[in-house]
Amino acid sequence: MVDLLKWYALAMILGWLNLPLTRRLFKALPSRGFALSRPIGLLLWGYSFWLLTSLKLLNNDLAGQLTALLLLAVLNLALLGRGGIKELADWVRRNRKLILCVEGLFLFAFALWAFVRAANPAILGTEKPMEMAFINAILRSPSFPPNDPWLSGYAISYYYFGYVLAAMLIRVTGSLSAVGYNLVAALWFALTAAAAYGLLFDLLAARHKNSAKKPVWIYTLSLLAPALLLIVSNWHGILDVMHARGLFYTTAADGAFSSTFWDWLKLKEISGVNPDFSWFPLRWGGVQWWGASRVVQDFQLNGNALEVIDEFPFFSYLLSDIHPHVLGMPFVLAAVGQALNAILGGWEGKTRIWRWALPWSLPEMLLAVLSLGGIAFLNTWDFPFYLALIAAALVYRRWLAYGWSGKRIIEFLLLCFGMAVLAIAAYLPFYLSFSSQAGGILPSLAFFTLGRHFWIMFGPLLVPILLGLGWQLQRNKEKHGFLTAFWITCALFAALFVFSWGIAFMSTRLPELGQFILSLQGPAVGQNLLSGALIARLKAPGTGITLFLLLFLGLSALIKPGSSSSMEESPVRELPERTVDVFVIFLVLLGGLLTLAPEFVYLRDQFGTRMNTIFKFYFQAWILWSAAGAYFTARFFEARGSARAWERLIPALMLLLGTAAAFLGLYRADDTFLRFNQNLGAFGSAPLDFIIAGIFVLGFLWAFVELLTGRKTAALAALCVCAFAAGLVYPVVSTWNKLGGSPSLEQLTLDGSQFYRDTWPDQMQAVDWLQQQPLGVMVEAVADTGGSYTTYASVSTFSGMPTVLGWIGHVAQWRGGYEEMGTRQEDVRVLYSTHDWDEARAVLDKYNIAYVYVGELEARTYALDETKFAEHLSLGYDSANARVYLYAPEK
Amino acid sequence: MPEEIFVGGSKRWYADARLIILAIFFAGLCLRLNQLGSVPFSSEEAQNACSAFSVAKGVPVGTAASPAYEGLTSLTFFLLRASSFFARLWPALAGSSLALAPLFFRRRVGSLQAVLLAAAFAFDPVLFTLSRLAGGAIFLIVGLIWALIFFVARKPVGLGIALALAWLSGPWFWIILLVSGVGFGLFLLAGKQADLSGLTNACPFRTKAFRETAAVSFAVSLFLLASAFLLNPAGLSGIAGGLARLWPSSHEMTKTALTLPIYRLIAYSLPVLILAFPASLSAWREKERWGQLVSLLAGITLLAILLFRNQGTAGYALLQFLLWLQAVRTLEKQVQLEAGRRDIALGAFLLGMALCGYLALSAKNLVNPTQAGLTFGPGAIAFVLGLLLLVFVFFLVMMGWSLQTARKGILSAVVLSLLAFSLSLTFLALKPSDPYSALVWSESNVWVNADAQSLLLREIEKSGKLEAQVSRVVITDPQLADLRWDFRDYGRVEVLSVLPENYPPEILITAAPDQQKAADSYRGIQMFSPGRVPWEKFTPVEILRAAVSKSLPAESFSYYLWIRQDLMTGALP
Repeated sequence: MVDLLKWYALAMILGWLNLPLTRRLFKALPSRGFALSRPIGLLLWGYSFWLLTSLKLLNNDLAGQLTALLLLAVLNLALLGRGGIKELADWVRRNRKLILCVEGLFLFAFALWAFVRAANPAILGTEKPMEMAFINAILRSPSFPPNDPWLSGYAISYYYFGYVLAAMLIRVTGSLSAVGYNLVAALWFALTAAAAYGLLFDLLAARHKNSAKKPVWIYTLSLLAPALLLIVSNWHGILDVMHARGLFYTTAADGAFSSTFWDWLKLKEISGVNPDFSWFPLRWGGVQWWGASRVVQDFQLNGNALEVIDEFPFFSYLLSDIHPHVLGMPFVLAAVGQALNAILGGWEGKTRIWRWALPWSLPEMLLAVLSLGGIAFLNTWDFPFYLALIAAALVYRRWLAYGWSGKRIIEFLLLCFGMAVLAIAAYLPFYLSFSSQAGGILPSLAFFTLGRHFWIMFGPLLVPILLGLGWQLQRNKEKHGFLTAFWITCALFAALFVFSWGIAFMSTRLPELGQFILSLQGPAVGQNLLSGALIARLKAPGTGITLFLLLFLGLSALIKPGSSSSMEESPVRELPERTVDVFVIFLVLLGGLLTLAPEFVYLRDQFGTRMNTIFKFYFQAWILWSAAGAYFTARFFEARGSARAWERLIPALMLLLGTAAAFLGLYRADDTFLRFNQNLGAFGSAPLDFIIAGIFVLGFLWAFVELLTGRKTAALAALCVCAFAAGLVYPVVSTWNKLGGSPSLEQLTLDGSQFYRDTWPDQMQAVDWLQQQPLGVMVEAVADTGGSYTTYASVSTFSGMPTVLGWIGHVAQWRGGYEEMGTRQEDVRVLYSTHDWDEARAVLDKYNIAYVYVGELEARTYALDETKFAEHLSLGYDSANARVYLYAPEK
Repeated sequence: MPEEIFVGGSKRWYADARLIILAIFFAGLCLRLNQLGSVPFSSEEAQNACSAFSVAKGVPVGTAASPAYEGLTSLTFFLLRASSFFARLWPALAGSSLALAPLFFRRRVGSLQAVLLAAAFAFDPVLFTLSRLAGGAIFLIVGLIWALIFFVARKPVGLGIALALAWLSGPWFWIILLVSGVGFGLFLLAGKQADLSGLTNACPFRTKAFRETAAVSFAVSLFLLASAFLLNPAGLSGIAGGLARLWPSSHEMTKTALTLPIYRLIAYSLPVLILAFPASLSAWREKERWGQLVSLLAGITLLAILLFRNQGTAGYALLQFLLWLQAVRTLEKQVQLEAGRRDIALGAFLLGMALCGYLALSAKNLVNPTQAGLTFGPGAIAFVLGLLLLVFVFFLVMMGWSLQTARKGILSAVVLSLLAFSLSLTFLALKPSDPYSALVWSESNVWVNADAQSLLLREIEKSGKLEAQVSRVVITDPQLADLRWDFRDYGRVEVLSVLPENYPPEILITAAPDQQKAADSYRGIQMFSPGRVPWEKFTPVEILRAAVSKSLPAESFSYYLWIRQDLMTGALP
């Protein structure tokens, strides 16, 4: 609890400390970037600390961090200047409603996710140990680049900025790193929620820029953005529940079940016929929540299914691997905020750099460079998307000022190039120690997303976006550039097709490369990859049609007739409402491109499949589309006018029924409620069936009545609510499943190492002992199979001491190969199992090993000969199941 | 031009304050430099000196406890050489400079107060001892006082430099910010806003040029000092080093017993506290603004010393400075007091001195009964009787002649006795053989005289094949790590938990005789050190005893110095 308060206090201090700078930089936003103050402050603090430490101007310690924080404080004080406090106080007074909303949401989100993490805090499984290892290694490294925890003698080769930020917060708050791990998840959840809220607030409030007072509903409807981004999930959850309940099944005469619907869906975990006639799906010994991140599947032409990751924010936070895509979320939202600021004219000014006069203000440009560079360092994949968004926003401003011409395209390209170069230069020390695993672009021929999978994945967002785009086109009386949009969309698809199939065609002419692609995409014997893949796609065009429609509608809403054909430069007068709409369309289009691109190409990595490309691209598409979806839904609510009594009653009833259903459905283990949801029989045999069905019936009824009464936007809002309601099934069911029911208060802890302490107390005591020792190379067992996702390397993970070799698969991924690992795996085997002291000593000297750990895993993995250590080394730590021997290597 | 003060036609002894202050400064400087490198080092001092030495050699070190000390000392080591004398030189110079400060205030406070202040700053045992320790404690008060002087004198460059020195002195800078904030807050709460308006209106910060020059000077000084004049660029972390040490998460933080600050205050600050008390009382009674503020700040500093007792000793210097500001007013009154009958006053003074001497002796017996062979009861009776006699004599003179005569005679004797007591502590700090000062002003171990150990090693070097520059020293116990300072001239000094297998070091230092198997091939000698005072075990009676008798019961400890056998040609000296 004390840690929780310390983290909250630090976040508060950081946000308010950085407010003068944020207000200065986001001057076109109605909120003046208040909700972004914390992420921007954290980014600038982290950047200055990381850069100065990398340049050996600061030590990687608390004093170094506080020095960097003082720099940020001085910068803000200088900006505040004379009379600034009074002006700031006036602004706070005028915006107290917004401030209360943002702070309230931040506190709620932080407390909520801290509670969720406290109920399942273990840093165990998936990639949590890797992240913990990075954080501890950063905490122990005297300088930057930090030591690789799992490959001694090397620096981390990964986009590790997020872990630097996490380590900074852990050190300043004085929390245990294993506690800090879970608080990072909670803090990032809250930062993201507040940033999303601020973004939608700015979008909605910017439309009312000219009105003296912002409408009250903006403060409420802005909650849609964090809800849609962080809580609403894909439709796998509702399908899972329906599958478990036995819907869409037919029973044969012999009592056997069959279902063409579930077979057709091809969902990995819920295909087939195994209904348990329960409202609570259970699989894999209780792990139900995992399946939603594996909706999309790729199929080789020979029919083999390949794993694809399609995480969405709620899943990622529920899983709580503090992976780069999660750590990047508040910062990409800050970049979106910067783009919005740019499109609203917040960057306007003059900057003279040598002979060039740039039409933008320098501080905003600098922030964009640092922000984009930070995104690249946080999660490199995201960098080009947000670079393009900011550049597009700036160029759109130029378009408004000077009209359309080919110069705008050149400006866009120059902006992208210039900002990319500067962003990379600003973070140069990182690139000097980073070797990417990306190995170029591969054509995606056989791999594509089935339309049904795409809709299950993005349904809750596609519904408001498509409805919103359609509504915008319909309500705007002026003509739209339908034809131009159509041809641009066609050209885009054609270009991607030609590019993808062209590369494939050419590569099949190169025996080695052709074989590589063939083996990856797996055509059957005698089958032609190019034609076979094309036929397969034509048979399942769902995603293509959806994206075509989306891009076509988006471009139609964007392009005004004649504007693209006119090559003359003439300024355009535009209302702020239109600018905001254009910005939202940019978000939609960027998301569309992110989901379209992997249909044709993907990045080559260690896996050779679309797994990571889909994962990273779809995740960003979710972020962009959630903002757009929330905006359109809010606009529907705004446009419907004042609500009638029944329009309040129906949503209230839906909420009531939903709560009742969740309450009744989740208490499956409790005898009192057993009758509600187990062995229920056919649908309609239990009261809960009607309650759940009632929610959706009410929703559609609402929409239908609205349509009948001519209130179209209200009907659209109702449809969106139904789509969201379907997306809310997963958070309710999966959270319950992940937490294993309702946790008791006594069990709550934020200490992620508690599980290890309970299970392997001796090992964790050795870890504690190692944490007190001077930094040195340690050695522990390396799994024969590589050790990924297991408890191998956990001593180095928690102690922060670099080990000779950790999870082999991950080390290979970070470095793009096995070259650096050399013979380490075999050398470690020799060290533990040899009877020859000289041989063992040679290994100790080779890797400069100072600490030899001997525990249960070492005894289990090797034919352990511990006698040589006992005879030649002194014992630093000793307990029944764990020992640490000390060696003084020759330097 | 020196001001001339005539009272009743005769020129007062303190009229030429400038010369007197300069003389006091030189005396203070000479005293501080005397035996500077010879008095025992504590662990903290050794750590600070080692850290500065590493910076001078270009070896990366962590963030310094006092970047100001590390910056200046490492530059000295780099330009000259590393020695115990140079390790303490900058604090000694800085501490001496305090005596010059009253020169700049003499017109404001008067010649007598200026001279008294200069003497106080030069010879006060706290300021004196702290300015002879290898650490940054003294830089805080020196930086602040000089910053104040430059501020009043409208010298922005000097102000920036002095402020940077104070900023980088250690955690007490931030505590002082807190203390000042609380002090001024209370002062304003007491309705003194109007009184301060004159001060703020005269503030040179109101001009932009002053502000900017001071800021640039401050930033450059901060940069140069923190980076040890570019010898250690990573030392810039030290800009927030003091703040970091205040962090509750700081694992280096040691637990200091409450008895330690209480002891220091009783043993070192009590006389000046007694002298300051009447002046403070009169300031509050007469609503004298400056005196009220100073006494308020002194009170809060006293509280801060107890609260932040594990943050070093800089707070004591600040307290002492504030107390002396008040105490000199009492002294001034005493000096300027005209006795009705000089001969009677002189007689009373001599009698008073004798009685104070008697009280000192009986107090010593009281707290150390075994020494005098007396039990507590008779000792206490003897002491109380002496005290009563002193009061009786005071009243007798007052009734027989006048209050002025009594005050001039008896109180002068009391004041002089208190000052003599203080001065005795100052001179005690000069004795290399007596670790008392080192024990009081260190929370860690006090080491054997470094020079004595060097002498021993030189003897070994002479008698064998040991060559310091190419020899390797291994210290096997982290608690002995600070001995690295004594072996700074050796080729390689390491703190290792285990002995290197292939190449046994020439010199080995262990905590226990049988700590390492490898020690079998070495010849060793047991070394004794004064150790540390177990403050946490102190009872109030023991505190009183030690304060009066000026001897502390330390937990001495020993370690073993081993020389590799093949380097020896004879018996160890």
